[in-house]
Amino acid sequence: MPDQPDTQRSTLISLDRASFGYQGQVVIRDATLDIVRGEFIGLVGANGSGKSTLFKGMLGLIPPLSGCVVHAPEISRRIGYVPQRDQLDGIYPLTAFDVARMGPVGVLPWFRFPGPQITRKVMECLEKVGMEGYRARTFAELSGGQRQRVLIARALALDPQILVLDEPTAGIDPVAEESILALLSELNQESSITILMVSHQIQSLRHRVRRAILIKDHGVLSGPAEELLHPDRIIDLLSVS
Amino acid sequence: MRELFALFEPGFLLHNALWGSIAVGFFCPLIGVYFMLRRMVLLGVALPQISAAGISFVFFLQGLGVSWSLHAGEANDRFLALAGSAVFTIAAIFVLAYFERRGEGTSESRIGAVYALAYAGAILLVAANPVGKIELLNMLHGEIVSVSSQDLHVLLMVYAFLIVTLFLFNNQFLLVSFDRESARVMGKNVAAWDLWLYSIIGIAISIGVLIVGPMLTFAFLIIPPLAARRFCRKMTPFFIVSSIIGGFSGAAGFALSYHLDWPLSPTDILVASVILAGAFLLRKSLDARAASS
Repeated sequence: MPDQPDTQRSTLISLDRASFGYQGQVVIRDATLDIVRGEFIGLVGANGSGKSTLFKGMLGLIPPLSGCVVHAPEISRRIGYVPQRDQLDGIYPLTAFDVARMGPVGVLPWFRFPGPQITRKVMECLEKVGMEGYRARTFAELSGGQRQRVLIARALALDPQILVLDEPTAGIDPVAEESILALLSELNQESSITILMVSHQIQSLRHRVRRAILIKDHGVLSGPAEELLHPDRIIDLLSVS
Repeated sequence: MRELFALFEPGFLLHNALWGSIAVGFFCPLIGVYFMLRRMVLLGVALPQISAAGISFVFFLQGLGVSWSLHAGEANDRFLALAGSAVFTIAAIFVLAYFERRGEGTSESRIGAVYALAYAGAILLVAANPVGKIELLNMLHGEIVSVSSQDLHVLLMVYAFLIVTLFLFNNQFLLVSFDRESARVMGKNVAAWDLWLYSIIGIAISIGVLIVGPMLTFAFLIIPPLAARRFCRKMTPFFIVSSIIGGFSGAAGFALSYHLDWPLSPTDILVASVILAGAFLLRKSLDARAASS
């Protein structure tokens, strides 16, 4: 996108020689990369390679052991985070609407009560992800794909600059997987929302995302998805050395 | 029926005890909802026992001659008991939260060990107390019968304040309980919200233990939400129905206990358990009917 003005090509998240880990153990070493506005990026790696660690580091959920992570001021509290749906306990008596409403309500200061404009916004977002007809259904009763859509609606209700998704297609059937990837592509292309997603589904990801970030041997590789995730290359890259 | 209504008349001898029992039954389920949703039921058993250990500790110090006198006579004893109970409960919550954050061992094993220690500690501190033991044992089992008008007013005011607080911060408490990681990404200080919620829980339990004892406090925390969850598909009705079941158990248990001359706490627990069993059977029957139609 060489003709776009600088404001539209601005960097939203920047890592400069950032290392992440736990209790002094380095999991990701010297990662340097930029997440630029409007990108659709897939983050891949073998099981246990450190995808979640890098992901959490980029979001600021864990501090870097060294180096630095910089978030652009405009994404402060405007990161649409979509966690793995299995992390959310089905014991809570919450409807799809209640869950989607948690996004905009969560960023309100505690002394402000959510008004009707938040209800309207949440309904709009549920409609955008095709879940308006399920708003009164209990979240735990929904299928994996439907729950994922509700969580995407929750993130969209924040008017995010960037959507960050943790394994959004894990454990759901191929039809639901394809429809979620299509929804994300649409949000990226039509609403210009930057998307960063962690995924195991490398082949379906390869045709959807433009750039891939791949973790190998504690390091980070970044490049065009078609090239980096090519079947001939990916087996070599993901094999444990 | 007339006898039942006579219990609610202001001239009734145990008027304060009745309303104290209803107030604890009404309020404890509101925080019990969080115990159930956060899967912290074991903590619901441990905290009332820790609170009881706090009461024993304060009177143990008093028996050794270390005492504070802020009120006259019995009122001072109750104030000290409340202070000991609250300090122990809130301190235990903070210590458990600290170890939880460090992630060492399992939370069940930590809470189990603390419960055992608190249980033993409460008994040993009573046994080692050089001054009277009978009164102290009564206090550890909850002194519902001797609740004064002043105690009742304090209880109602504190619970009213806590209800307003829970209502004001409900959205935040719910978010940090349901989806901690997203809450952090949204900029919430999850640890601070946890500590605020735990402080409310600590105060509520301390007062509950002093009024109705640890066992009934635990029962009011857990049984009403368990029954209400069978039918409630949204959070607001879940809170309200849990609270109504708790308040009703407190009132009906008191009436039964008074007329049958049964001990109060087990009677209240029996009433709450009958409601739970009824809710379970009704849900089963409704589900079976829905499946067959």
